[in-house]
Amino acid sequence: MKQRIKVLAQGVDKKDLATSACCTSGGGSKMIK
Amino acid sequence: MILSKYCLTYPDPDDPSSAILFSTKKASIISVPSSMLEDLKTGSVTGEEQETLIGLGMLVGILEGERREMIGFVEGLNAESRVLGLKVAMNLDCNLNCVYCFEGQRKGRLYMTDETALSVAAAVKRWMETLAGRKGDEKIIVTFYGGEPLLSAEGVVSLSRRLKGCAGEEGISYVAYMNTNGSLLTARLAERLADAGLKEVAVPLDGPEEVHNGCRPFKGGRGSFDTIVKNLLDVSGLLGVTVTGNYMKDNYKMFPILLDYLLERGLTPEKIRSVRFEPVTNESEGVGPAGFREGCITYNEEWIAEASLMLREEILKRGYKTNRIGPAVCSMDFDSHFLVNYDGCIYKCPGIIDREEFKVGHLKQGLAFGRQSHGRDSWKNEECLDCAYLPLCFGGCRYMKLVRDGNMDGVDCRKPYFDATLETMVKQDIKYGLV
Repeated sequence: MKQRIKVLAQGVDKKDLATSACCTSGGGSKMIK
Repeated sequence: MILSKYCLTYPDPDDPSSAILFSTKKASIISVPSSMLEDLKTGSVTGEEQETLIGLGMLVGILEGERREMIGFVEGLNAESRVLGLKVAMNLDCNLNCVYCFEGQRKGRLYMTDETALSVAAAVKRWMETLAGRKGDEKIIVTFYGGEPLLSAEGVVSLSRRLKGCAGEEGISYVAYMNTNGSLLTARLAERLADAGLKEVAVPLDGPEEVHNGCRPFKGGRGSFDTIVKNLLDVSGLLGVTVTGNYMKDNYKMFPILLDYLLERGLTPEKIRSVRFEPVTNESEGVGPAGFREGCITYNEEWIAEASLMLREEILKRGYKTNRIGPAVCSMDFDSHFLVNYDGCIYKCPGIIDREEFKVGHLKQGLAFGRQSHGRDSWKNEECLDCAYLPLCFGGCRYMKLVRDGNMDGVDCRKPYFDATLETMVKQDIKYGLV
């Protein structure tokens, strides 16, 4: 069968979230002064 | 197997016969024929497809299992994390007089002493000792903060060098960042900072010269724009540079002029690691600048959706990078993320420094977080667990909740904001290869 899924982004590794707290959400960081 | 609750479906802009699927849990994105959507809902897919979709977080065994996974998501991160995230406020002084500064009336000639800086290093050493064995994934991430951290430039160089040395002795990775206004960031200093382990600076430019100078003047009233741009040109080959910017309802439409100016001056996407614009937040009465009320108190204000989509497009279409959309956890939720204030007091977020009720300790007692006063589990309710956006916000910004409502008891829900923006943002990420 022909491959029906085209992967456009593999996504993030859960572990990487611990290095990016408060800076990457859809809202981003409010702590820029 | 069934489709994850945290998987959203959008029409594919490039192919009307296809659909885009986005997992808020993983930030994974796929395109599939629209005819496959029904098969996905019922789990009628081939073994190979199933394996791919499980890996991307889009197919799950049972929804109850996924719900339990989400409830334990943050605890799982904490259990696995071997990262110490430390923001260090070197002082609460500043050479600028920004109209909206959230540190407002908390600022003054308040500087970290050498003794406190030594205590920071000692606390980091004690944290390293708590790690059982070495797996190679241990990391110390320090963000120098203020006030203006470069008013304590010698202190930053000295402390960063010391922390880099401590980490190196233990075979632990060390990286430092800095939030600075950029006005004191000369090339000579940048070289020394890079040598001491500093990787990247985040420097705000609030739109084109006239707008920026109105928002971020020096204390004497003179504009800071030209000084900062010159410094960025001088240091962009020495340190990573992220340009940030704080916009308000009446000035965000001017920000694309800044982007054109940066290109014209040679601060091109090759020299600027990313650009990130965010709305200014109001502070509580008596804490922020007296009388300032031009910021927002929730992302759900309609103009913010419009502004963030427009500015994101303007950033990306000029070739600059910006944050991609994906899961995000607040620093308050991480057991090993702290802010150390100039006086050694420890908090969980820069927004709540000097608020005694949210102090979680002091360097003398080490780095620990035993208090549950920060609304950490506020999103563990039916409504949030049923919301496909949960992994993007986990209860939103506690600081904004505090400023808005005077407490952190509850969530800073962003559903209306994500309803208005997420589809476009996911499509921007695909269009500009931000994946």
